[in-house]
Amino acid sequence: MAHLVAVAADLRHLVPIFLSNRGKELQALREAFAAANYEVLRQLGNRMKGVGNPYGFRRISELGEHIVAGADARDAALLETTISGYAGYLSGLQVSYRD
Amino acid sequence: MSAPFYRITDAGRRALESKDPAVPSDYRFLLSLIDFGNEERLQNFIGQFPEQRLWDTLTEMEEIGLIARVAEPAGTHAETTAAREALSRHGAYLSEERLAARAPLGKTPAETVILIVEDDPDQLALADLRVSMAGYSVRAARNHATLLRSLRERMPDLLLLDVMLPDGDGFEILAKLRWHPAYRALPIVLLTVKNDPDDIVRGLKLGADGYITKPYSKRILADVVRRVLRP
Repeated sequence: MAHLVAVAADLRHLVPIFLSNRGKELQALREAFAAANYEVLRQLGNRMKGVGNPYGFRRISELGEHIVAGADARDAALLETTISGYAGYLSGLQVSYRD
Repeated sequence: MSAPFYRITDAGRRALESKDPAVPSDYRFLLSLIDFGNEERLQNFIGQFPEQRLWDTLTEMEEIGLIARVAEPAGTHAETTAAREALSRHGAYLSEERLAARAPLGKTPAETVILIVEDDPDQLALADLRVSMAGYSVRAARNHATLLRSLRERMPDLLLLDVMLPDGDGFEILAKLRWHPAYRALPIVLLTVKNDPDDIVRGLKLGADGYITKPYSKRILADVVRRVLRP
């Protein structure tokens, strides 16, 4: 499924690095989930919460909130669903730039 | 809200006087209220208008040049109250006490060095871009240790300090800097996801000149920096 995101044009040169970092973040989430490391999951979720919106990726901030909630509640089902949703979101991203 | 700290521009007047249906009715109505300076009507209107939408609309109108802020003498009650309320709606807060006690910086933006302390590379890149776009010179530190090294090397004109650093708590760092005579007057703005009122009050009481919650807009960041520096 395609996820279309319009990002401010002045962020154009930052977005490739930003998305590369999100890929690394996804891998870190999977590893922390596999290890049931809820503290790391909470930290990663908080980072997603903080960084998604400012770059124009609101969905990343929302998924971060779910990760934090899942980590706080130690809710493995919510975490698994959210991490899977994050992977799907990143793989379907189509970014355009607006002035 | 203390209402008319905006004035209508020439472009705003043309929009107001035109019959162009492309001018939104909200714009037209706000332009007419601002133009006539009818504070009572504007306050009544504000009472009926969803607050955030009003501010978004005024911001849009300012950005496209239909209205401009009225330049009141700095430090007047109306100006500081309006500024404080406008900023707080966007998650930014100022210590008027510290601002009032400081002389204007007296440097151009290009001569002004802002040190950003932020551990997250994406947040740092974004803050760096926003501050640079506002015309300031930027230095960066990724943690408490490099912050201290950077401060010893060259005093910045303003410090933008993330509260959650891997090797230190921003509130504690702020408190320690305020105890040090060399850094007591250094303008410091906290930049953080912590938006709990207790955290905001704590930061300002510890001696922050400003407090900005993430996410923030480039306009808010530039506005807070400009007000704290008092150029």
